[in-house]
Amino acid sequence: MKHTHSERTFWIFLALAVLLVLVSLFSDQIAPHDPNAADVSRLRQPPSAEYPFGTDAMGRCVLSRVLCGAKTSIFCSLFLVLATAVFGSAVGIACGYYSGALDRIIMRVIDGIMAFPQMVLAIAVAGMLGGGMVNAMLALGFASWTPYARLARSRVIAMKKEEFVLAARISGCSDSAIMRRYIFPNVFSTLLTYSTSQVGTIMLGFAGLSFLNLGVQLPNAEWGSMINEARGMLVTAPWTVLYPALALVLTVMVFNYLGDALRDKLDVYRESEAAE
Amino acid sequence: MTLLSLQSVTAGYGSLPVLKDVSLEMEKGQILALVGESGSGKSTVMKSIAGLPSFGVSVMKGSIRFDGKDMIALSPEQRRRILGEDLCMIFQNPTTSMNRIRKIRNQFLESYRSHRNGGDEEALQQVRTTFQKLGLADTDRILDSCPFELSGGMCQRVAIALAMVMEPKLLLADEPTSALDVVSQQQVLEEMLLLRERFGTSVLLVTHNIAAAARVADRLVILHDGCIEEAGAKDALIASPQKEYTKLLLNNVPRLCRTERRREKTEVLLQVSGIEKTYLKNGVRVRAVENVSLALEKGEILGIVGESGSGKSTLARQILRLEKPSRGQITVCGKDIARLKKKDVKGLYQAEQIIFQNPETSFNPRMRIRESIRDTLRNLAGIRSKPQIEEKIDELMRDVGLAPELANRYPFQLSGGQCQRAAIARALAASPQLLICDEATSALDVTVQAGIVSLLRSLARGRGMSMIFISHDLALVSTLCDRVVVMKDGRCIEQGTAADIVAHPKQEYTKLLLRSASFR
Amino acid sequence: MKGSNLLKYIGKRLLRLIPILLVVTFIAFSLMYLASGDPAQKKLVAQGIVPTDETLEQVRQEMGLYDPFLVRYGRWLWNFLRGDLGESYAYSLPVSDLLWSAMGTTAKVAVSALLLSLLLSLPLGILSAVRQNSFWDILVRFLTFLANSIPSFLVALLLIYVFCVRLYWFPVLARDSLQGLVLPTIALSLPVCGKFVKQIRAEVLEQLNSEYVIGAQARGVHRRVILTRDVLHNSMSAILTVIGFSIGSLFTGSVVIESIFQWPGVGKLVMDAITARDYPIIQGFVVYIALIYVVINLLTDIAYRFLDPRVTES
Repeated sequence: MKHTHSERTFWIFLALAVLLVLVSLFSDQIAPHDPNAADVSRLRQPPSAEYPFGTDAMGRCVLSRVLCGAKTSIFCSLFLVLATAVFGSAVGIACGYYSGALDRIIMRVIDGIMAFPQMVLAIAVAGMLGGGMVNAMLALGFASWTPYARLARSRVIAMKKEEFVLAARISGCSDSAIMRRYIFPNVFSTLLTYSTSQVGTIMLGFAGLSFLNLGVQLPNAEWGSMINEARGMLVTAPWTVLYPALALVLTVMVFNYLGDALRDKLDVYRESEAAE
Repeated sequence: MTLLSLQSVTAGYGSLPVLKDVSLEMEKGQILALVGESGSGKSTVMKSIAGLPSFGVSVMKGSIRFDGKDMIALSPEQRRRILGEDLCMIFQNPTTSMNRIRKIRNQFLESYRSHRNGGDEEALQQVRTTFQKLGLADTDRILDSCPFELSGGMCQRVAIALAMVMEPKLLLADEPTSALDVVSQQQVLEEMLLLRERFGTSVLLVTHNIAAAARVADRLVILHDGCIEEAGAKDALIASPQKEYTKLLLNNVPRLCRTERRREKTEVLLQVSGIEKTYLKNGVRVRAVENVSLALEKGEILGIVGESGSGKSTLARQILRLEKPSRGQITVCGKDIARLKKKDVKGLYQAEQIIFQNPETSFNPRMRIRESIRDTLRNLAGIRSKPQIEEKIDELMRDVGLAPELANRYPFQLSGGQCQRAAIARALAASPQLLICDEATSALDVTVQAGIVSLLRSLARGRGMSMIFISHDLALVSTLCDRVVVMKDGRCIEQGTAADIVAHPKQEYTKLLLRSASFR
Repeated sequence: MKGSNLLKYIGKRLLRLIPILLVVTFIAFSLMYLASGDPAQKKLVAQGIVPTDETLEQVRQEMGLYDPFLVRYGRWLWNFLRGDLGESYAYSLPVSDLLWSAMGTTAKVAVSALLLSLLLSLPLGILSAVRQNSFWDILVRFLTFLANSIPSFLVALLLIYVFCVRLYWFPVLARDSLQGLVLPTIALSLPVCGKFVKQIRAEVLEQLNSEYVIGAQARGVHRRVILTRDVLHNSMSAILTVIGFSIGSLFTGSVVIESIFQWPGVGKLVMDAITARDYPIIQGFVVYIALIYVVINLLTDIAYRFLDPRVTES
């Protein structure tokens, strides 16, 4: 009973997430107006049939900008999570499997990076590099690949002692075959769960950096920077804040729910908590 | 006088009945053992009597009466008053059935206060008397420790003693000896006899271990597939079982074997000399294996007997080059395995293979059985052509008594016995000269175990394969092995032919193992 | 718990701090390299001086910019160990003085936010675990979810909108006053609360489902006693670790919250420094935060060992 319930939740949120990705992919086609086209003749107009989310201080269509921001937020987050997950996991798996001196050095470096709170480090790196989406991604990426490495490493170390891995060694399998066919498939679900749960976090991270003017540069649209731009107009034109904020919160919620549902489905809850 | 009676009880989890129409009567002062294999529903009987909601057991039909009360109709508060007062329970794992990190004293006082109004000092005085009656010394030191600081056996004895402080009418014991070492097993069983004698408490012992049941029980009840197969006075039931299943069960319990088996001397296959293994634990050097030497000839079956922590598995792993000995030398077919080059390790695994204790975890859960066996064939048997490999897999499956189609399943889709047979097939794929079985049957039921052991025996004899059979069960080892090594605390304390060890044990410890292994 | 074990453990952990600190300082120092351009020029520009070739050369010499990287790192590390983090370009004041004076102001918000979070999340987390799947549990879980999905800057803006713009209860920019403390505290603590409740609930649930609870029930112990004595006792150590880790989100939050509310703490200092390209402050900031973070995690770890005697055993 409970099983099918969590299964269903998972598929629902997966569908929603895919829908969001599709929307962001085709945002240029869906957007009713040019997101960057300013028009002084219609500043801060409330939502109407032509401009469903209203217009902002420069007369740009808020809906089009929210859609355009979706592309930046969702795509950059997914890409970054994928990149950090692949890099971190590869480092972690190799460290865990081979151990030795290099492993110890790398783990000390990771300890050092993790001694900074993730976002603090990202803010500092972005601050030093200066704004821009690429720099923001570098900053967030540098701060967020480490948990994957730790998680993968600890799982691999535990896995190495499993009887089926010993059995594989006794079956004459090579190191790379053991890692590829015996260890990786069994740590994959843990890593997948953790990465999914990180999408929301990274999205909030991007929004935070953009809000602090450390992410996307004007006039490009991103939800965090849109909220920052519009924060002075909370009273006069609340829709300029409301819609990007809603888009951000709902998207993060969908991905967070997806992460939870995936975790329930794969039931690797404890392991993914151990990384934090 | 009837203390406990179950009348045509049907009970189970959710809507799935596990117990079907079970009826049972228990007299005051009686020790009744409920014996069955896994899945027989023996624990469900106990859980439905206690009726705690956390057990998740629901009684669908029938009645359970204890001490004149209808146990099914009780309110939670009424049930709480009975539990721990008139009806006490002890569990398989004593260290986890108490809060491991709180002092035993506080935990005891909490349960005491839940039932009685007496002061703490009075309660503790009662504990001291009870401990004394049950032959436990050091009461205050025990009360001041946390469960994690005590050994499993000690913890179980303490749990029983603390239960007895309330002088309950019935003690429900769920596999109380299964997680314990032999010495503690004996002590716990003796404690049960003692508490009946000193307190007149009845005991319902739930166990899979017929030998343990036979030692203490007055009556035996054999449970099979949720139904009572046979019940009767212990001696009568063991001497002349009526039902087929009971006969099967009793026949499959390994029995000490005294017959001498003659073997021709052959060349030495494995030579272990002066092996030691130490590792650091909390900055203290612990010896897992200490100066062990042994030799194994071609075609010989060697038994290694010892309990968990005796170093027998560490020894096996060293022979397989999975762990490096701290000192000493191991040679297989005349080659020192520590000096093997990376490319020669394959040769070692063509010579020796292992069967692990837990069949399910010894297969990659994400690979079909066929794929796992294929790996061994491709790497170690040197077969390259695909049809030949598939054909060989089918043949191996038949050799171990499995239908070839089962190879297409995942490990979790097989029963424990089937899975262990598949593990044997995988090991045979390398056509090894030496097969190491590390507690290979301990996770299985007696009837399944008997099948695996006879398979191993015929494989070894038929192929002239040497075997190291590692087990904690001396009786089982004596039926299979030519020679036996007894290990304790990392050392090899006695070795000899199987018949010799059974007939003339020299060490006290071996005698103890023998005593716990015999049930007639 | 044996005292000598604990001391040994603390000693071991302190030793492990050394490589961590080396990495931390190395990263912080390297950050300066990431910044594009000539530090000498930035220093002059930040001070409002028009750089000429001569002055540039002079400042470069002063800053030791011609030395090899490792020499400069060594010098910087040596100065750092003596408490000298260099001088701010913009204020021409020692960075450590600036950070220390701002730290107190930040601590006010951070500590009150931490207290508020604990006050809210402990009862909520425990309640929702004990009453699993009840109406309250579902409500708490949903709110937790919301809190975990809302960025703190949005919470801050909403609070300003409701309480300052609509209700006029609080001033928007209240600079270091008690009244001005309220909104930043709430804004900072909500996301932290989300994390806390989630973890506390999970931990208590795990404890509730463990065998010893069944054991205690089988001994007829009152449910209330099992909850207060066993379950809470055992959850405490894990909850403590969660708190240690959440300090990180408090720091992060404070950067954002302070720049919104213009609260003159470390967060605002560093945001201003980022705008002014005042790199020594950013550098000093990350080192300080990492230090505090590491020390707090060390303390919670030690407290954890203290509460759960098993850990030192194995």
